[in-house]
Amino acid sequence: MVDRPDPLWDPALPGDDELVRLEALLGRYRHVPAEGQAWALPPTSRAPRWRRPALAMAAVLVACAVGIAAWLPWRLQWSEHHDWAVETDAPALPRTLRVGQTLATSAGETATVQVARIGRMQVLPGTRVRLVDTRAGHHRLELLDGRVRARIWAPPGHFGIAAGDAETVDLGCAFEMQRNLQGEGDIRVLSGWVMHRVQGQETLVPAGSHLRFDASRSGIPLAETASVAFAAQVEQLDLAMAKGERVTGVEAQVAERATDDDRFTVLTLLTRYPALASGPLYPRLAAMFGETVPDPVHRQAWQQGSVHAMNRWWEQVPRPPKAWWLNWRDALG
Amino acid sequence: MKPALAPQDIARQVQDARRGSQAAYAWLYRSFAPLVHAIHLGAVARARVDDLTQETFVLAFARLDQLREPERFGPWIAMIARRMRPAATVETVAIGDCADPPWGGVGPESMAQAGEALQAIRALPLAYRETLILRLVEGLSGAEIAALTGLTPQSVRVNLHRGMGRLREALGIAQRQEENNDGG
Repeated sequence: MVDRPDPLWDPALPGDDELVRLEALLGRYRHVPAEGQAWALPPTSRAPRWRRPALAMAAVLVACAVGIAAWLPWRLQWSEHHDWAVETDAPALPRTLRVGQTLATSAGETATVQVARIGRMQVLPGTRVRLVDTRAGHHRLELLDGRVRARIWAPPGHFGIAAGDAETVDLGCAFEMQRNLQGEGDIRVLSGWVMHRVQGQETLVPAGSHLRFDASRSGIPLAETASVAFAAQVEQLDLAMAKGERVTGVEAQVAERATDDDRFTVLTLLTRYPALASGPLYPRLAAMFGETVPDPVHRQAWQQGSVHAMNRWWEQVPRPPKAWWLNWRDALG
Repeated sequence: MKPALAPQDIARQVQDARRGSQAAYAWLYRSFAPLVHAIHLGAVARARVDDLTQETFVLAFARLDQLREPERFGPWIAMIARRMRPAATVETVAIGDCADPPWGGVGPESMAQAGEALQAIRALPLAYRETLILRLVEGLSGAEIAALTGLTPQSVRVNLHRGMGRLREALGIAQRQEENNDGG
């Protein structure tokens, strides 16, 4: 195919009279470029392309921060003596729990109690719990007997379980607790920290540890990985020291059997009984904190019960109890 | 016939303009002002065309980072120009009513004929209108129109010929030519 000359396509070609006339008429409207036009436009008046995702991310973070700032106070707020909700399939169990009321599950029955807005507690079969008090910042139950599992996300001290003269205070965590009618029981901490308090004695229990207690005292927290023999020797040493008896042979065995996982157990022993620092447990614990050559001044101060000396190692414990917000997963439970 | 703009040249100038190059801004303005001018001339009174053309470039240059395909600067700025004045409100102010005369030194008959031709073009569908103004007012070739607008050369050729046919009908040119032929 041969292209015919097309003056409409190519203005350089001669067109018919009417085309030429229209070009002449309309060509007078032609755009005349402005001379000396300066485009002093700020090319960066908009955020550079690379910065836009960062700005969008910042906006999302600000929105999240605002949301959390509004959500957290709401989560922690609770009217005094407002009933707790109870979820259960057992028809005989109540659907709410008021202050002073006892929730008792029989064998085969379970219930989940909403701990105000700060968490949930599962009440296992054969358990009796009584709601003692509830208000913003202070929620207390009594475990009369049986087993409960609690998952709480709140500042330390907001939730606690009384058991006789003892009290187990949540420091922002998930834990399981059981108690029999004689007041004996144990606590297993799944995340965060728990403090067991009885007759003025306070014992911290970190995640991955368990603690045995009875009506008058609490034991020494043990790692879940601790051997039965090690646990027995720690208990023997604890009971002996409580009576003011030194059992140097057991001290040596505990120091020898202790692994790095048992650091918190040894730290608690030495804190509860500072006099043990004169024996083999002190150098063993020093080695666990990376001090291969024990500091005699520090050791002497520890033996004398110096809080300052003890804090030097306590402050090296990862994720201290007051950092409760780091266990944010408990808020999802 | 002048060579049409190459896409790679357009893209390079857009990239340079994004980096603040005055020369690139000037190149883009010089190259695409006829397109923007034609769009506004087809829609509003001539007195406002130059201002709108200027405003279109100011807006486009301020938004240059939003242009994803730099080589398609033409279709992009054409869209900006069209949105500055919705087609539904095309102004019908007669050329002779404008504060500024369309040009100086010509007689009233020629002015009237030019106004009549422009009004006839403005009455055409958008595709024909803009293509014909680019050809008859701005004096661009089909290839240059295709390069500026992003249309295919085939589409431009079709728009030119169909638009021209519609324009001739509107102006009675076909009838006059037939009468002339009969008389000859």
